[in-house]
Amino acid sequence: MQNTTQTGLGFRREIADAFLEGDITPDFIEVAVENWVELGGYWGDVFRQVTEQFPLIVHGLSLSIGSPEELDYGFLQQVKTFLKTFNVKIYSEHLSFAKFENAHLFDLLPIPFREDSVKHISLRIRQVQDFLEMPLAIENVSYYTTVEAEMTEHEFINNIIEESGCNMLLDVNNVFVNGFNHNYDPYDFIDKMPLDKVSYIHMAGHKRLAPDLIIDTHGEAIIEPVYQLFDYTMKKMANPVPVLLERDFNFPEMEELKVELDTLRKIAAQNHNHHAIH
Amino acid sequence: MLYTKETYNLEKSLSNWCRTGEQVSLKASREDGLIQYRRLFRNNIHNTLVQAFPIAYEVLSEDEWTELVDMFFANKDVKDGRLWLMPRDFYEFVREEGFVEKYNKPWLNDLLLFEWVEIEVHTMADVPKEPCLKKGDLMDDVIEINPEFRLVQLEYPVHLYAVEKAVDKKGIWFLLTYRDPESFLVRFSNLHPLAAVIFEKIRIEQKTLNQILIEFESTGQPLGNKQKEEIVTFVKLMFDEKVFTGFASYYHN
Repeated sequence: MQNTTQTGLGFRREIADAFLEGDITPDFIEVAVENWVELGGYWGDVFRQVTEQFPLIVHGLSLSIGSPEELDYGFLQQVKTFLKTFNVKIYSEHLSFAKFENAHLFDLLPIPFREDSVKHISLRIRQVQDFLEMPLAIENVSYYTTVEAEMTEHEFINNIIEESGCNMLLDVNNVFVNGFNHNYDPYDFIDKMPLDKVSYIHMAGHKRLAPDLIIDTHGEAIIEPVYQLFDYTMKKMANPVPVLLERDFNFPEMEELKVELDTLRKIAAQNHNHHAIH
Repeated sequence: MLYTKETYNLEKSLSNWCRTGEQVSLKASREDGLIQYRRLFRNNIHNTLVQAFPIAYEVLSEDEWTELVDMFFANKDVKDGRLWLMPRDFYEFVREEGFVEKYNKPWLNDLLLFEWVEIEVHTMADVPKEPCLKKGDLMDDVIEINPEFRLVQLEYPVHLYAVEKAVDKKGIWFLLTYRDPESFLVRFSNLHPLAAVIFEKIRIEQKTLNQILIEFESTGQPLGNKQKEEIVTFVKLMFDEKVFTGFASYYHN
């Protein structure tokens, strides 16, 4: 058992050398399975090297748990093989839909917060978990509008987690973004989350596009209010979980990312004793 | 599916809005949020395809490029969620929908294919290589080929010339795109039609060079000495480039 928080960084091609050369040494790395599965050549080789150095967590993009059509079991088999090959302990996905009638959209759309959605998605989550033989961690996504909602976001999330038995990937930045965009108290939202089901946490930066609109870009540094929300969350968490710094583009110098990782580690360490993720 | 028809239609409307930008009847909690979705989705597709097709992006007008990408996203159902494969769908869409004629750009399909195969060969899964012998007889042993390649036929030599020149050189062109097994670099080779035929006979029929030459003679089209020398030069080049990796170990004279 380790006594420091496990903090990770998304592995991205633009900063691959920094990982391989030891310029940055997170406790784990995260990738989207779609970007690396069955990849060969140069990047396949790089991926093999980096996964020999760092434990891997997977955060998918295209499972599309909120789609109406049947699950793509061909894709799920690829995921299962990938998870086994790289000894992945956590597989997470978005509580959203990213394709409709098998046409991929390559981004995330909000599921209508409705009772039938809870039933539909919970069933699909159970099917995924049965197939993969491991729990799925579902992420609270950022969204820019609701569509004919019949319940609140926190009710929607809680109902799904309870009915499906899945875990939660709590994205603290998304809580902040959604609270800002939809005028609710993010602290109150954290209070209402099933924190005993949280197995993984994301932290990221965002961009203010208008006085009343933030976009969840993952391309900026984490701001102080989000760190504060993270600190609040850590105080309430009974068990330590891995925490990822999500940065997808617009990369700063490595020193800046290291400072962010250290900040996350310190905040978590102030609040918990910690376990290794493996 | 446990969605009600209403919920299904809500998702359908949202998806259609993002793909097409056509107005939909949706009770959104934030109208500007809907606008953001269309903008974000469209930007994502545009940026991905600009990166994949930098030459096409440069040579097409802004209106042509925008129309192609918007129509692709609106109309082509992309079945694979791996973003790196999307350019393949884009190429197929443009080819199928006849934009060559619409834009009067006869080289367009070839250009997109040229740019796509580079991505494909660079990224494709590692293919297990047949064990082979490093030493053998060039003329009488079956040659093994590095399987990480694509051989395509083009009408216009967009791999050799800028489109303004390529358009005047319509013909039968063969582009071999291959991945160096050690450096992983992608290389290109323009193959003479005879070289392409030899290449495919080696690959598909697993014939030795002498067997291929005998076959030409038997069809009443014997190759001259110059052509035979060119073939040997070509084969040696393919070995130097590591496109040919050795000699089949199961068939050795």
